[in-house]
This record gives sequence, structure tokens and C-alpha cells, in this order.
Amino acid sequence: MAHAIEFRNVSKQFAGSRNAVERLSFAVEEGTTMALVGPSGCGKTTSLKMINRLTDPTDGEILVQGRSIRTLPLLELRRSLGYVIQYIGLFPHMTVADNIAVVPKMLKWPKAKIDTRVDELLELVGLPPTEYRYRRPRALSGGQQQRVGVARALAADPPILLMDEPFGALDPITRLRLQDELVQIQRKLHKTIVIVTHDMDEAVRLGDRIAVLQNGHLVQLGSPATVLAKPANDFVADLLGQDRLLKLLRKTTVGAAMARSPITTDAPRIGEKASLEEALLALLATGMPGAAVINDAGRIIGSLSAAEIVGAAKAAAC
Amino acid sequence: MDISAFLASNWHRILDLTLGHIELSLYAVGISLAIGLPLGVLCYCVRWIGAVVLNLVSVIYTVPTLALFGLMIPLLGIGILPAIVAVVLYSLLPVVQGTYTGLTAVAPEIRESATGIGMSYVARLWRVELPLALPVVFAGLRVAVVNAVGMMTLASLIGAGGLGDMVFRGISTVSWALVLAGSIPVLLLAIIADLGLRTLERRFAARQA
Amino acid sequence: MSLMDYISLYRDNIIDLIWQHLLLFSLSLLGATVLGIGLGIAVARLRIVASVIVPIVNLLQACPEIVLLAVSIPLLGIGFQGALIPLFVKGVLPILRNTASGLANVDERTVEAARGLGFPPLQILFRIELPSAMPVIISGIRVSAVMLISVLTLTAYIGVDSLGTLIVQGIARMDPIPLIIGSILTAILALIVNYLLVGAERVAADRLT
Repeated sequence: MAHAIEFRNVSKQFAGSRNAVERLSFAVEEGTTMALVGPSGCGKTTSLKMINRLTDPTDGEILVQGRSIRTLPLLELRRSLGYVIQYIGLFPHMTVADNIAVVPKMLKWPKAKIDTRVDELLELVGLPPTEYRYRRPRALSGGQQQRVGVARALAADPPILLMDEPFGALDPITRLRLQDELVQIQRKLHKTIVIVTHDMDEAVRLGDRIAVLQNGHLVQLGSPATVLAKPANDFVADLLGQDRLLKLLRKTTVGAAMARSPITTDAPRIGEKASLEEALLALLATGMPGAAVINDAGRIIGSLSAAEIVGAAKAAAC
Repeated sequence: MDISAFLASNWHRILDLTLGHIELSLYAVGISLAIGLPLGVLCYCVRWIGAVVLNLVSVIYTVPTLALFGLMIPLLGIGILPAIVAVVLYSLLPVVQGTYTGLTAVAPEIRESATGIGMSYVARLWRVELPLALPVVFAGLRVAVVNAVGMMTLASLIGAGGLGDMVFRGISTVSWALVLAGSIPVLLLAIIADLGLRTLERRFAARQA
Repeated sequence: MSLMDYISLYRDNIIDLIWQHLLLFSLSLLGATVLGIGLGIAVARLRIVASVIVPIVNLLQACPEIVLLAVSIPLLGIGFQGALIPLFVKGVLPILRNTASGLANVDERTVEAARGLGFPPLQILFRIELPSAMPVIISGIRVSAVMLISVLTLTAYIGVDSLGTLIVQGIARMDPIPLIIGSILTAILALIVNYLLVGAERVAADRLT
């Protein structure tokens, strides 16, 4: 089956400067999230904008669902790709509902269908329609505006969502909450998402795969666990930060690492869905050598020792 | 002559001149809006036209208003037509510039998301950029209207009538009553237009921003 | 009579009028600048002053110049001060407005930093705030200057000589030659003043970066 999005040797050069993107090749599978990550100027935003043709590559080819985007009518292509940007870009003269309805209206949906769709989306992003439908963007907080931005991008049910630093303008707490919500939404909708971010934590949290870019080159491509465990070079390791191994533990569940050795009754208990980071913290806090793993029903189903945590980290790296 | 007595016996004529003054000003502003708005949009869409037109209208603006009327005489003679043409030329700058500035001031991220979402160039202009530019366009229109009302006073010098008839006759006959009878309605018109349009402008701006 | 004949015949006269125009211009612009900046500072600093002056400013801004001139006849008489004062009033407005908004837009953090370093208030005003607002203030002076050059032509109607005298002559005698000479000279003066002050604006802005 064709990839949802594929870059084939894509290069982009802006007049009079070095290549912004250099022979970039990667593919995004249907229903997965790809995080493009790197410092500013690494070419990640340019790469994203080449997908909806806000800018065109100088060389190479981009395919969406197996078809070269050059062969697709421009406006139809863009309407089939949801687009969310950092500064949100809501239209300040339209109500929340009108903002969300922009693309369905361009696609000439019947009015009743648009109305239902708007309410449905507002529910999805956690803004009760009766309260928010007729508000104007300026009457919303930054986080609420960005939710509307996501709802607008999802309006015509595009199979693919492009997000350019979608949570970059928000405070850290709101950002975390919206990242969680995006994960929840993605569990329901299974869109193909390409998200651009300079924040490695965000990439690890949201991406099924991560592409690390440096000066227009792809320096590493892999699952968050692989990237965390085996950064391709010092540049990637720096991006990940000192605590990259802790982040790795955060990405693995207790259930995947537990053993079945006998356990003392005074051992701390930890749920099978908790992360290894939480388990490690529990061991550190209690000073015990191992923890009992329990399932949702509270029954002990296994055990976890520090050695198993180390082992799991090693395994994840392979 | 006593002013109140003068007003009592001449109110009919003052009213007539005032109505004529309003009519002339409205024609002039209407025409400059009809020309200036599309021209402003064109300046925004086509960069080289913008450079040429914006410079041209600002040069027209530096020609003294008095001279602009005077220069109409060799070209169009005297009467209503040359007066309106002169005021239209002078009113173009605020309208064109207001439209252009308003469109340019639309935030780049709004423009980008309109394009990214799949709006055509015309749809983006019509549904996003122009509505957002409206308060600034309106500010330009207000300046144009207030200018036009004041400038029309000079139109009487080239025989177009209006309240200037009274003002200038007052100046040349050194009659305080005549000067005031002509000036006060002009003043009131200008102030009413200014305040009224300011209120509308504020309402427009409050609806979005 | 051809244009060249007219110029050679009335050469001294025309040069006199240019000087007279420039004299009126310098005096009114100087006065307007001093008062405009002073009031602008007061408006930016004192809320009470702002609430009194801003509406008056908006009203005066809407008054047509010829009306101001005409009304000043009975109050100030025909002659030099009758011509200068209303024009000077009109010239104050753009400068006042730009000074006030320029000061209001000075970066709060810079002022705070200066205060933290122990600058006395007057020094903050003269060494930090006014220089930061200078490009905007100069742009207000430019708007005033260009307007004054043009509006000064109207003084001819209340018996004070300026380049407007030529224009008025032309209109009165339906003779395009003095009309064109007067208009072009005024427009040239306005353009020169405009470009000089655009340059000054740029210099002031460059000094900030």
C-alpha cells in the first residue's frame, strides 16, 4: 500500500542562500504521527509547507497517498490537508463556528451538515458548543483558540493533518494538556499527522516516529525509544537533553518489562500501565529493591526490580 | 448688520447653500470611493502598480487645494464638474492609502492559514483580508469626507456654489455676519461627519480586533 | 503673454512672494512644533490634560482651514497675525498627536530599566523617551509642514501675501499663467520639505537601532 506521505530526495533552496532542505527522504505511514524536530532554521517548517505547497521544492518529489502533489489541483490538495499553525491564525472577524466552517463551506456542504459538524468538533476539542459557538476568537484564551484551530483543521475530515509548532505559543501547562488531548483525539480518529516542533519532549510525547533535522539534513529517523536510547550523534543527544534515558523510561510501560520472580509483601505496588519512570521513582522513594505489579483489578500479576528496568531500557534501544 | 437679524432673514438661503454643499461633497466622496477602493486593492495585489499609484496620489496631495481648483479652469472650465474632479483627486489619497494600509496590516499568520486551508486568492481577499481591513478603510474614508466638506468651500471660487459663496462674499465685503453664516454650517457639517464616522469606525473595529 | 514673458516681467515679485511664503511657513511651523511637542508631552503624562485637549484637537482637526481663516478676521483682524494664528493652530495638531502616541508607545521596559538605574524623571524624558519617539514626532512635523505650505496659499484671501497671491490672481483673472506658477512653486516647496523631513525621520530612526 502507498504511504500516506512520502518525500523523495526533496531539496529546497531559497534565492541566494544555502539549501534550506537537502535531499530529504522519508515516509509517513497511514494513521501514524511523524514529528519533525530540530532547532530553528533546520528546515522543518519549510518541509511541512512543501506538503501543502505553501512553498514548492526546488528538486525532488513529494507524494500524498501515492500521488505526486504536483499533479493534484492546488486548492483541492490544501483542502484535503488540515493545517494548524503556531500563531493559530483564526480569522478574528468570524465567530468560532464560522472559523470552523470555512473549509466545509468552500466544499459546499449543506448548511445542516455543517452545523452538526461544527458542534461535533467543538465537543471533540472540549469546548461546549452552546457556550462557544458564537464567540469571537479574541474572547478565548490562547489554549481555547488553539483548540478551535485544531477543530478548524479537522472540519472537513481530512485524512492528513499538518501542524506547525501548534502549541508553541502556549504556556507550559496548557501545552501539556493540549498535547494529551491531541493524543486522545488521535486515538479516536487515526489521522496521519505531521507535526513540526523544536521541542524534543513534544516530539517524544506525540510522535510515533521522529525525524531529527539539522541544517536541512535528516540526521536521524526512528521511533522515540530508538532516538532516546541511541541518538545518532552529539547533536541529537544535545537536543534530547541530559535526562534522555529518563524520558526513555517514560515511554515504556511496566507491563512490558515486568518479570515473575517472587516478591516480598512490603514491596510497593505499581500498576501495569504505569511507566518505568514512575516505577523507578517508587523504588527510589521506598528504598525497596523491587515492586509488585498489579493489574486494573488490583491483583498482583508480576514483579519489577531495578535490574529489569535497566534491562528494558537496553531492550528498547534495539 | 445684527447677526440674528441676518440669520432670520437669510435662513432660507443658508439652508439652500448647505444642501448644495452636502450634495457636492457626497458626489465627490462617492466617486473617490468608487475609484479609490478598487485602486487600493490593486495597489496591494500588484506591487509595481502600488508603488506608482501611491506616489502619484501623494504628489497630488501636496498640490495646494486652492491651486488644484485653479488648475481645473484651463482644463475643464468653471462650474460643478471641475470642482468635483478637484475634490475627487484630493480625496483619493486617504481612500487608496487606507485600503492599501488596511490590507497590508493583516497579520501574516492569518494570511498563511487562509492560504494553507485552501482558499483561492480571490476568496482570501474577499472573505478574510478585506473584512479585516475595513476599519482602516473606514478611517481613510472619514478623512476623505472631512476634507471634502472643507475643501468644497473653495469650490465657490470656480463657480460651483456651496457655502463658500457666503464665506468669500463675506470676506470681500468685510461682513462678519456673512462670513459666520457661511462658516458655521461648514464647521458643523465637518464636525458631524467626523464624529458620526468615528463612531461607525469604532463599531467596526470593536466587531473584530 | 507666455509663461517665460510673465516670469521675466514679474521675476522680483515672484521671488518676494516665495520669501514671504517661506517666512510665514517657518514662523507657523516653529510655533506649531514647540506647542505641539509641549502639549503632546502633557497629554501623554497627565490624564486630565488628555481628556480636555484630545476632544478639542479632534474638533479643530475637522475645521476647514478657510473657515478658520475667515472666522479669525472678525476676531484678529486682517493681517499678519490673523493669518498666522489659525494656521499655526491647525499645524499643532499632527505634531501633538504624534508626540503623544510616540511617547505612549515607548517600550515600557526601557523606561523601567532607566528608572532602575536611577535616572531622574526629566532625564528619562529627554534622554530615553523623546529620542525613542523622535521618528514618530518628526513624521508628525512632516505632515504639518506639508499641510502648512499648501494651506498658506489661502492667506492671500485675507490680504496677506504668499504664493497664494499668484493663484488668487490667476483665478480672479482666469489667467492660467500666474496660477500655474503659484501652484507649481508651492507644490515644489511642499515636495522639498517632505523629502527633507523624510530624511530626518530616517536619521532619527537609524539612531535607534
